[in-house]
Amino acid sequence: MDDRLIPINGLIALLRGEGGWPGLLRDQGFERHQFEVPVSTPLGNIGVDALVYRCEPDLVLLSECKSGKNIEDEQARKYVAVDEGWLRRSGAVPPRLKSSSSLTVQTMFVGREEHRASLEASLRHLDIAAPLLTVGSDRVRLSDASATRGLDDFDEAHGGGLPPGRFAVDHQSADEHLLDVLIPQVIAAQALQEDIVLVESICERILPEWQVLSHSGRSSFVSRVGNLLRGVAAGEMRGQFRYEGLKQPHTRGRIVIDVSPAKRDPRGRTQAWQAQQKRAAAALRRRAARERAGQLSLDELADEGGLADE
Amino acid sequence: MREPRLGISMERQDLHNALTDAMRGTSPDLLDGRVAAGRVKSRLIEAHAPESSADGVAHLLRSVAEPAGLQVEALDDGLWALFGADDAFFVDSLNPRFWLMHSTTTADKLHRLLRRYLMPSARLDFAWFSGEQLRALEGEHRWVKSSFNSADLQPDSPGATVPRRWKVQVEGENPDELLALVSRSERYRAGAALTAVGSRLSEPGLGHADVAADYQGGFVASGTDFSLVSGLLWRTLDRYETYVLGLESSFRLGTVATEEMGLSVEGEVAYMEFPHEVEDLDALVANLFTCKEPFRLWAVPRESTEGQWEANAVDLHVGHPLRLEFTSKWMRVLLGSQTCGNTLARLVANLQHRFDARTHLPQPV
Repeated sequence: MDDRLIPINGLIALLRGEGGWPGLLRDQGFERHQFEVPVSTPLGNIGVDALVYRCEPDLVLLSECKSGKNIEDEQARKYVAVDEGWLRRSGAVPPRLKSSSSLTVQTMFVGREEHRASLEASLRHLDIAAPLLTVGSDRVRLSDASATRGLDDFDEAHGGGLPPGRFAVDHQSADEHLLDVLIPQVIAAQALQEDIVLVESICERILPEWQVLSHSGRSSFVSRVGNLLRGVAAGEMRGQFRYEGLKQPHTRGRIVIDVSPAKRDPRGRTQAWQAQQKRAAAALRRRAARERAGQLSLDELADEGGLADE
Repeated sequence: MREPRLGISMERQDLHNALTDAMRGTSPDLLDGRVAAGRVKSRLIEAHAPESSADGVAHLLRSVAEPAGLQVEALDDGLWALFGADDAFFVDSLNPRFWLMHSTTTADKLHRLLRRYLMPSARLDFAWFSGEQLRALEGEHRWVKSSFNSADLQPDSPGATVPRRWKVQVEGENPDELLALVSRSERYRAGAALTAVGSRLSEPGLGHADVAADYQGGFVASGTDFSLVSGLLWRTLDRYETYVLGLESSFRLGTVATEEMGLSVEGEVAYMEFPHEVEDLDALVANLFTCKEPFRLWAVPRESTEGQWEANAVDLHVGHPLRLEFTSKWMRVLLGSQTCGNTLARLVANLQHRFDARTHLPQPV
């Protein structure tokens, strides 16, 4: 999982109480959530990372997820400038709250637990008073929520580790993270003995936000993924598949599977897949894990020695 | 329906009558002696035909049977015969996704056909029963088998918490009770996986049948009437279908565009708390992704933070991606929006036989 996405995945886990994470926000009544919501503000448009809400008291939390130590001034001010009117103008009020006469809109900053001190300092420096949620592999904290009716502070240890990687990558993820999900797509195509896979369809499969990505955003991402696949096809996985650029439609390419371990004699297939692991490990700059051999059972020992079993 | 090349015309009931004859020890006059007298072996198979039609099933069957030297013949609606020089295998694809295969050939020949030709296809897989499902096998249980081998996933385990290997067969009155007794022992409970069950079915007027079923969807039957066996097989198939579809409906993850132009997330993360803490997590991770049977998982795992691993994996059985996350205390499985539920069923059943018999996947409320 791209480390940048730990805050958003942590927020989702707290909203759903899943994967060993406590449902602390779910337990406060936050029952529905949306991501990447476009919202207009008096200072310009923003894409709200996560919009979560609860009823009675009616509260919408606009969550800005920060992977680093700092909070960007301009972006933060756009978030806190959103009030009920601007949210309604953007058409982003959840249906269940559309008729609310007492709707509160509040920004909540979400970051990583290890960056909490820096994020608190950043908010102080910007003179922004807003709840701060930080998520970590063994602790989650929400602070400065007391001024917001319907939201309570918490500080809880948990055993859920890093949050479930529902969003393993996004369109801004670094190449190494994209390759980590792209190569399995090539392997899956080989296992299915597919001949051709469109790069665009791979992008659709690996990118959770594909459906709400703009046309230009999609084109740019397809092009980036195409370049990554071209590089792997010409490098560590040479001879396994090749990348073909297409002039139409949209200059989007495809990969052509040249060989597949799935087409080999079943007796040599496992070794061929393991060879693919080594190639992929080289492309990912990782060391392939080596199988640990177990002890021979007495049955196997007897079989190898040709002993009678009856 | 195409004209059968062997010149036979057969409806499903005719097949059941022939298999009844075989069970009773008389060789049915069928397919020039390719259906021998003897026990009927059946397999529950999960199939993904290229299209949901008779043509799709025929295409898939031919693609796996012809390399094995078998001809494929349509017999009845959704009923097929695969026959070679000496043997015949019948495939009932009335349920297009979950098939039943029947044969009276030797166990070795059936095993070879399945392992060498059918299961290597990314479109076919066994059914993988959990211990709970096997325990629910109909009839009066007369025999249970428990086997366990932690050498694959915990090769250096001293065997103190989890037995290294275990093979037990219990026959007699209420054999489940003895296994339940072992399951309560702290020393042995991790190894007390239910591998196979033998059950006696009887019905006045129809006679009786003895059926043994294993956790890989295999059945062997003897007795006086195949219709008793057939009823059990179809009801087991229905329950297994409900189980797999339930896994897909609960655990497939995805995103959906909302009216407000945003995204909502769907599906649940499958989460299994390990019944015992893993002593050597590195070994478990290394040995789970060896691409070998029975897991057949491909991945290049990485340690995302100290003591936590993640793997963007591919289930080589079916060519579907999935993501797994581990610590020494739990495992999470994140299925793709199209990943087959049988992938999760296989993982659970094999963890019960290779990691801890108490491994359990809670279903969302």
